[in-house]
Amino acid sequence: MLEVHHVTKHYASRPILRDVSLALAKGERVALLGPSGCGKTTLLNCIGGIDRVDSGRIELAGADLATLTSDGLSLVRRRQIGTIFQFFHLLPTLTAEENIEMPLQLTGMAKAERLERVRALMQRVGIAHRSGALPAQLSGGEMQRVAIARAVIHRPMLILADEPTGNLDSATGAQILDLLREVTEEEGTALLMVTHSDEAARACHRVLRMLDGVLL
Amino acid sequence: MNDVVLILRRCALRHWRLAWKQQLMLLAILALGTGVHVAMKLANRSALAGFERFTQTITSESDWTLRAAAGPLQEEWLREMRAALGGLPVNLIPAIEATVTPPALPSSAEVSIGAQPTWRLLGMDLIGLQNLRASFPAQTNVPVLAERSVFVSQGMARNQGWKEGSEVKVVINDEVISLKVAGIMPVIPDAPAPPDDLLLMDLPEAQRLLHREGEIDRVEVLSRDGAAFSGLREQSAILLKQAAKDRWQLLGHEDRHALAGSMTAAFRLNLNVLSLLALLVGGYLMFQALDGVVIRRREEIAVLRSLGVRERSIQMAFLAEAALLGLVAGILGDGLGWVGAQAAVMGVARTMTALYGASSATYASLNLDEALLGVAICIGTSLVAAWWPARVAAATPAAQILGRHSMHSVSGKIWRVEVFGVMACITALGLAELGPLRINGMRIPLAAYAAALFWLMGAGLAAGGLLQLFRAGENPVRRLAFSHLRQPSIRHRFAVAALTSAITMSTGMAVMIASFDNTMRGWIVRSMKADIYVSSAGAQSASSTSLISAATVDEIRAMPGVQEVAVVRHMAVNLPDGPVHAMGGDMAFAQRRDLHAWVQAPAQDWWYGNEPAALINESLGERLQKHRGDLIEMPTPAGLKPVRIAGVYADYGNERGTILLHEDRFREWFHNEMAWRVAVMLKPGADAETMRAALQHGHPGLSVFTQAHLRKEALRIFRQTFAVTYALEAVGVIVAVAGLGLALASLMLDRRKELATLRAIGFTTREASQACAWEGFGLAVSGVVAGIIAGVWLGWLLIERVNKQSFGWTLTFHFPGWQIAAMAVAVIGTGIVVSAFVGRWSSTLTVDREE
Ligand SMILES: Nc1ncnc2c1ncn2[C@@H]1O[C@H](COP(=O)(O)OP(=O)(O)O)[C@@H](O)[C@H]1O
Ligand SMILES: [Mg+2]
Repeated sequence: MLEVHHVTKHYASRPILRDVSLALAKGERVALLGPSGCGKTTLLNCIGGIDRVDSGRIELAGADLATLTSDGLSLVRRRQIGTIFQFFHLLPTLTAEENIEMPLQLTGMAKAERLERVRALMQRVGIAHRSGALPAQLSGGEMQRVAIARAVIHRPMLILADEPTGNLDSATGAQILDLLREVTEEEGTALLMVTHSDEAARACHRVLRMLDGVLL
Repeated sequence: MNDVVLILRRCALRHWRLAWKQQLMLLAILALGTGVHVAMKLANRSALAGFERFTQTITSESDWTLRAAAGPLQEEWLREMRAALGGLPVNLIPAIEATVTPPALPSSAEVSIGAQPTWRLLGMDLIGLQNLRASFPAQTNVPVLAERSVFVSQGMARNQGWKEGSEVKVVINDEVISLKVAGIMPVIPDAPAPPDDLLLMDLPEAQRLLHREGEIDRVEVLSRDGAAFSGLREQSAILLKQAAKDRWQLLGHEDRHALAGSMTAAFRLNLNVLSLLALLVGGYLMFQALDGVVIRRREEIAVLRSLGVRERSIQMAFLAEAALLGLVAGILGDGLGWVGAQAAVMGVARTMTALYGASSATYASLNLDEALLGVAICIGTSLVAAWWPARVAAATPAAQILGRHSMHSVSGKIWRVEVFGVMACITALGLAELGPLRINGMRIPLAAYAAALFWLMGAGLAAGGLLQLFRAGENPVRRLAFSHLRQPSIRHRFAVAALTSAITMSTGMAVMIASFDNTMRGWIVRSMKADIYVSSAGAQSASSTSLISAATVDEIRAMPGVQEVAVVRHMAVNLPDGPVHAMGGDMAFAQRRDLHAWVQAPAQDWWYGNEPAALINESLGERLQKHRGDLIEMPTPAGLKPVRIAGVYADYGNERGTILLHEDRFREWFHNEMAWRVAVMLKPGADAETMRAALQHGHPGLSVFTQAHLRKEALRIFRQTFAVTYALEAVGVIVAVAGLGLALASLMLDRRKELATLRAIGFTTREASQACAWEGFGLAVSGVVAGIIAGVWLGWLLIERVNKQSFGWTLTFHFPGWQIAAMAVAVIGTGIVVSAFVGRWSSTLTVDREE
């Protein structure tokens, strides 16, 4: 489903990713571990099409990302990929419900169906009671729940999570991990998760380790 | 204090270096705000400078000026004045003054009024002048006072290409007279430079050329300075007043300034109202920009707080930084203002020349006071603008900011700005009910100005409420954009406020001008019914003193094709509260031709009967608070005469008062046979243009206009008065639209993380910039809609209060719908284009990396 072939990437002639290859099967959860600055986020950005590779190939559902235009990449993201960040990055002026609804609106789904799905998912992730709240009024755990919901609402094939528990206390972090695992299992979504915690790694099928831009 | 310096050095200045683009933008906004204000001030001052000179002789400021209540002073009174002063060391300098023009070029075409420069011919006792302080060049020998010799300033000689010995032709009254340049007045250090519109002559020679032997217009009184003579000024005033016996009046500096002031009231009204606008728009933009700075640094503030820096130090550091910013921007703004003023002055000068024949100003200089004031205003506004955001930032619990990592402005929610706005508007409604302030015969619509200010401010602030009305349907791009509008930051609010104020102002002015224009046109058609109008070529403006001799009038009357001639005579008269025009005309003619639009109509044939009666114009009625049937005391050379007001007519030609007498009464009282204006009715079949050409040919010292041309000219001059207004208004609107763009740009900078998020969840770059365009659209629409609604009331205020209280003109309200619709479309369109542009630019922004 996701295939990364011999990807390299430089920033100002400094190699960040060196000959990285990996593959993810449908519904597979993979943890990516490595010290700070080794290139994990860069790899995620390349897979998400926010950043471009220097050489190598990234294929998502059979499409070569390098052949797509910026708009094409946007379409891939809005259909196939969900993203979760360490710092949540909810849209500050939209309510929790509107934040979750946004990806569905982008795909042009009819309103009734959209709302039904959003409400069900909010129930599922346990934030139904906060649907009208703005991000600034939510706690960290709640924000990350909303972020997860936003990442899976459009049933993407792949979720890219960059240290999703990095900014949460361990108890809340554990809950979020459970939630992430359950949700991806239910939806059959693949997950590529950057993390520092062994606990998070244990929730995955497979663990990859990275050091200085090389996958070990 | 240490903390403050540390924060400034380590944080603030580093931001300046690292984020120099943002910093530059901020500086630009601040400088622009200051610049507009400075430009307005300079243009205003240099325009007025022309008038101050009117009252200022080359003897520099005299202590007192003596002049008659009506008509000229008699030369023989000088002896009585000297006698009254006894042995006091006081100089009396008699002067006679007239306006003159260069003769029209020998072309047959009708010229525009005001196209010719107007000069001042000043006759003074040149030998007497030599003995005075900082005055006429003492070091140059006064040359033989040859006949018809004049002295001119260096500036004038340069402009006209004159040298010593050059021959100069001028129109004096209706004669073309040739003068000789006898010398050029040097610039004396520390003395006011001689004005560039002055022809200086010896007194007797000037009297002879003006056919006014034995008469003088005024006497300047100079008491010698020095501690030994303290109280001399007051003492001489008392003595001179005692000797006056109602023949002359004493005017101090203040009176003279008031005189100049009342002449330019109309013009100043425009500029005053407009600099208000500049200040407001500039202020809004400054607030907006500084709020942005604080928000951008909230994280840093939180970190500092967590490190143990005190709230107070942080606040102080911010204020210090704001002051520093204000200083730099203020200096830039001074420069910008100076450049802007040069452009504005040229427009202003042309208008002033046409209206009052006075301004020689084509250049606005910036002196230290004004430059410092500009900087001070800029620093002050920066401090005021930074105060609130700095307080909020310093007081926000650090944990909240650090924990959330959210960049969203909270101050926008804390401030219930709309409530303030509505309160300001209500205050404005109250103020509009108050009357004008009356000082020395000048009426200042102070409360009405205050009402305009409160209204502009209030409407701007309240307009933010409209942002709540934006609702998006299904479209995710609009939903996102409008969600920002429904939770507006301070910058959203101020962008809307600036735009609203600018549009309110433009709409208000447009309504006023349109109402003026409509009323004027009706009045012109009604009052200009003669076929041909004649005045002295020297009479290029309403304040000109040039007249037409009785002989010339007779010649005109005798021309074949002339059916009837109506003569208007004129004399400047001084009522206790200021000058007014005394005029004499054929009232039977006026009644027969229905020349007047009545505010209070007189009885039929009112001028018959023994009791002296007169018409007054609306301005004078307003000024004196007098109505039909009331008595006024009219100063004449033979003392005060009571006159019954027979009626009040509308008059849009001058904002000074006019007392109109029947011509017999006028001649009886003022002994003046010279004509000020001559209206000619032609026999049926006679061609006006042919007659005009013939008249002009025979009398090169006259200005001759056909009815059509004069009507056109009157409208042109009127419209030209407002040309500057339009230009300045356009600046206001452009600044506001630019402010909208800048506001959006800085919002986008703050929102870089949000933009990255949008990309991550699948927004295309186009959609992201569309969202920005929609946000800009919302801001622009709110500003324009609120501005037009508020502008209608402002227009009413300008017409019914400001204008009524300062000139006393009744205007009929007229809403120029198309013009305002066009402005609305243009502003909203530009707003969208600018925002779309900012949106596209924002898609190139990169997100700060975070570990
Ligand atoms: N936009 C960029 N420009 C220059 N260098 C970058 C940029 N983004 C990342 N880097 C560098 O690439 C390396 C890897 O960064 P990143 O992928 O964020 O690491 P990780 O997420 O593993 O901590 C870092 O050393 C960082 O300095
Ligand atoms: Mg990282």
